[in-house]
Amino acid sequence: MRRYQAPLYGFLSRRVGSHADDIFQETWIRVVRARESFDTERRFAAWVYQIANNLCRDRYRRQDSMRRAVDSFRVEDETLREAPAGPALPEGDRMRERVLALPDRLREVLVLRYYEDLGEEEMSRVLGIPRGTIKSRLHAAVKALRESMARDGEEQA
Amino acid sequence: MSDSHDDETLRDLRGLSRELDAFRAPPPPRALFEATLARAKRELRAQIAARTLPAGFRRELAMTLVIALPPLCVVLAWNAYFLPRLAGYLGAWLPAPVATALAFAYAVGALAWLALTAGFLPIVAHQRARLRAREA
Repeated sequence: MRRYQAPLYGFLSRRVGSHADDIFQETWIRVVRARESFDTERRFAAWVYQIANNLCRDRYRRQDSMRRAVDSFRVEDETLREAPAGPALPEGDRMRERVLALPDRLREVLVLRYYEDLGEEEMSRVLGIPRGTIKSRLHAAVKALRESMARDGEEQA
Repeated sequence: MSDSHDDETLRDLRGLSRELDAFRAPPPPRALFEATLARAKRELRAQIAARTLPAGFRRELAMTLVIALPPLCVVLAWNAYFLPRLAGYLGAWLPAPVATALAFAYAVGALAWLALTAGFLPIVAHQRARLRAREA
């Protein structure tokens, strides 16, 4: 547990931002509960990421349905839309916001590929999607990031 | 998606490495790790406890068997006596194939009931032993 705590927490921070603490705890509890179903042929880290990622997906699914319920009751206030721009954020924080603003299905692919350095085969098992889908989602994630960076650049100019 | 397209995506990703690397993940807070470790240990202990037989299980099982076996033997004996005669009783006022089918269904039902009842005995003993251990 000590060995994998930092990579797992890093993965969760990039995947769900401020909800990392809850999911970090829950992941380890699930790992303990499911430890006998662990296939020793697999890499332990990939298995832990799979459990964590499923918990993240559940969290987003719950949040989405809650947001939809709240949105259906909300009265739009136009004055809230144009909030004054705050002080410029450091690059690390800006990138954090960009990554966390990506749609969940793109972010999970980007985080596992780039930050956790998982291969396509392993990602396919972790995410339960075909390799072709991983490739196309990764392409879409990079494109979305580039667009977001370009937008930021225009706003600053 | 073609391989050249994949290479292009990976190149693109590497091209973004400076920006992506700027998003550094914090290490887990020490208190969080300690709390998680404690929770995981509790969970593990609970799992192990659930799998080991509670103290006094054998005694409870013996008591349950002493209480349950005589009536079960009576039911078994009654069925052993009754079943061979059932088809004959039913055959007196039903067509023979229907009487046989009914007798067969009764036999299957009686056997299933007996198996379930006998199978539940260790579970009952386990529950009783756990309750006693908790009360003690």
